[in-house]
Amino acid sequence: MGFTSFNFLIFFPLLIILYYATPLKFRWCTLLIASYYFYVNIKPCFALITAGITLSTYIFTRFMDNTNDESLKRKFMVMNIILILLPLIFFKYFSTVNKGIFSMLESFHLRWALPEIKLFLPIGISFYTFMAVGYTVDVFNQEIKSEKNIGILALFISFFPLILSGPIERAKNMLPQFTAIKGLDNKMITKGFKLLLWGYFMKLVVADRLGIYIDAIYNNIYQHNGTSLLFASFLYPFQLYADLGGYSLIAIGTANTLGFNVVQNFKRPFFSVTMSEFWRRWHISLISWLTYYIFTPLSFKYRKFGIWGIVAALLLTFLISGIWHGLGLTFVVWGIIQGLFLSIEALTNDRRAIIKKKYNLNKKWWYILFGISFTFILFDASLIFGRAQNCIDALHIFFRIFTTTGDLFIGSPSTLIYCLLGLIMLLAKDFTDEYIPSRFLLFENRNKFIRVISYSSIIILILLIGVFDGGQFIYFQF
Amino acid sequence: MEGSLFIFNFRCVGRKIIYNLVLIGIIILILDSAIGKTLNYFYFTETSGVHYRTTVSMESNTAELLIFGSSRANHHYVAETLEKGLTMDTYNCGREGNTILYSYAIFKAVVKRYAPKVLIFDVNINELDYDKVSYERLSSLLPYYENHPEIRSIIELKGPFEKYKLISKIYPYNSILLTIAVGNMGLNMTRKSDLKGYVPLYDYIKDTTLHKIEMADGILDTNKVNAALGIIKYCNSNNILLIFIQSPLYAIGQNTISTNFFTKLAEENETIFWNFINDPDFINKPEYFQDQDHLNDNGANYFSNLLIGKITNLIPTQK
Repeated sequence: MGFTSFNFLIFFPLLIILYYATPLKFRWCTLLIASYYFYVNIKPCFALITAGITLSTYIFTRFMDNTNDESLKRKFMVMNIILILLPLIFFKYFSTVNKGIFSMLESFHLRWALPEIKLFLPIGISFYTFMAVGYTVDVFNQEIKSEKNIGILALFISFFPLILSGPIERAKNMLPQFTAIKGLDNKMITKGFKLLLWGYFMKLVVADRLGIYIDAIYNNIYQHNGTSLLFASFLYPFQLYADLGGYSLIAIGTANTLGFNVVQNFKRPFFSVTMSEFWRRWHISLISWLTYYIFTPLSFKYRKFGIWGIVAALLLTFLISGIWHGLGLTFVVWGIIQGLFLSIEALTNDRRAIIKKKYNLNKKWWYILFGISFTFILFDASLIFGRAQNCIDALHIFFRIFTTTGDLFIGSPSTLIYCLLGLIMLLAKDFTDEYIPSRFLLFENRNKFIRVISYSSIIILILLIGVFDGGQFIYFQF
Repeated sequence: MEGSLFIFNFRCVGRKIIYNLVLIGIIILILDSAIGKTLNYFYFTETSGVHYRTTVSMESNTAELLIFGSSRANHHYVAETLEKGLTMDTYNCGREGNTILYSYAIFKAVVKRYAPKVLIFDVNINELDYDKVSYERLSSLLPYYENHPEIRSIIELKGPFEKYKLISKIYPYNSILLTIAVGNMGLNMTRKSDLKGYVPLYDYIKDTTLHKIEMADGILDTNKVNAALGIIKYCNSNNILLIFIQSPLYAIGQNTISTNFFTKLAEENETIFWNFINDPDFINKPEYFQDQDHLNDNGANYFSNLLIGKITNLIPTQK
């Protein structure tokens, strides 16, 4: 059961009624049962992994809190992190490592063809694993006390709005909310519904529609000319943003409706003027986690190397980010490219700051436009590695873009028209939110009539041109 | 309120939320009904295009010879050629992207109205394999759900909640708004002509290397098998000449579980099955193909003429 399935549209309203009908002090129980029910409906045995990670984390963090011996605490922390990461490493990289070993055996004619074991990746494992690791480190650093109630901890790790694809929340934000659940809050519920609505629009109308067009080209790269490949590559970042951003909004909206505040995950990333600003606006929860638990400790460790220590920390952090997305070489290359971009910005930061200040560039529209365009091009180009099946295909795409032209692949004209319509609406909203936030208000308009018509129009638009069949959420693979 | 045993805080907050939700719900119901009915009207007033052909297939055509199947049916069987050669009214009911489940629905709608004499079902090499997309493609039948009770059980195979989704009047017309507009303006006739359901292709295959089709072992889909058996049973009981055909591919094919299923039925005299995969009349002639899977108009005419001779031999025995 995913957020865009019909089952969820039945599950969620029933859960809201049941949740608010439950007395306050037992609502966390309702949520815990609902979260496991939600996950079990995807694949029952995956819930065992979640439960196992919860139990391990609970035991080791309680041990950590009950000892004063620092080296023992560290041992407990490391042991728990290893135990938590083992399922992630196994499920995620089992196939890739298998294929590598098989290829090697085949090259020596030593492969014995036996039926392959196909493993399905537990959905969301990357996200809740990171949350559990973060919690363990926070307890070790004494930022929070270990949670005594295993049920509350289990709820944090399995909280269904977040479990599938984040945002990756920190325990110190969520645990206090779970232990002190508040009553019905109109503003929170209204905010939640608005986010849900816009999230569904982004996912069903924009992301899934773009996916149909882009897949038609990217799944047949050797049959398409450079013009079509360029256009599909241009659209792909928007698909990714609408997909992950939309799903995040649905997750956050769901949590809000239940009375919980969750961290924002995207903040209009395509209006970033630099790559470092881009990474403060794109997948914010993941970058925050990586910054806090990987980058900051590494840059502290390498501080004696000055700026080069920061560069090393950046490259390693984004290498890990790439590997988190997938062990394939394409993701590793993508991660390294992002690290390189940020490293170059870090190395040239002082000089650029002087020039910007001297010419007051931050207020010049052409500088902002140039920055936005250049940042988009850099991110877009790196994403070709993220989208292609392998590095050879990625290089082939670059080659064709620069060497071949021809008619743009249209396929179904209506698909392309719906794509562009949805995309224009999404970018128009982001533009107004970024530069003129108090004007052209629809969901936030003071006039109730305009608000109600806006909600209704979006729902009707989703019914008219949303993609209901076969839309697969890209980040399920992570 | 903390620690309280209140069920709902109806006095203030809950009542406001429910009121707003009900208000939005009513507006949506009204808009959904109005827009849905408008789309329904214009859907059935289309005069060209894929929707029009489906509507004609299901509701108005009375041809003696009908062709069913996917895009391969739609582009491989020239209705006018078959009509002249067999002196039988012919209509091509094939539709792109659809499978035997769709064909079965059209078949049920047809035989409810009249009794055709000859039915040709074009089947792909993996026609009976389980494939989730086949069920999603049943969306093309949603506009007919209300007026065709005979096909509802097929449409409901799409998913367990399909009949509840159809409470929305817009839902059957999801993503086809522009197609409806184009169909009413007759623009399809200039983009893609339609000759008694047959849609000709005029390009030529670019890669003339013969590739081998690599097929993974599939699993027979019970619903598709039941559809095939249902068609066979009805035709045998009502003296309708039924022929399953695997039309030519520009590729080296192999036997699959679907092919073997039809072959076995033909051997047991349940039905007729003609397999043109790897047929030397086609496999060495790239000029007959637009792409690996589809004949162009030249190829389709050649193929249709070939079938005329074979079908003619069968018709007297059926009479």
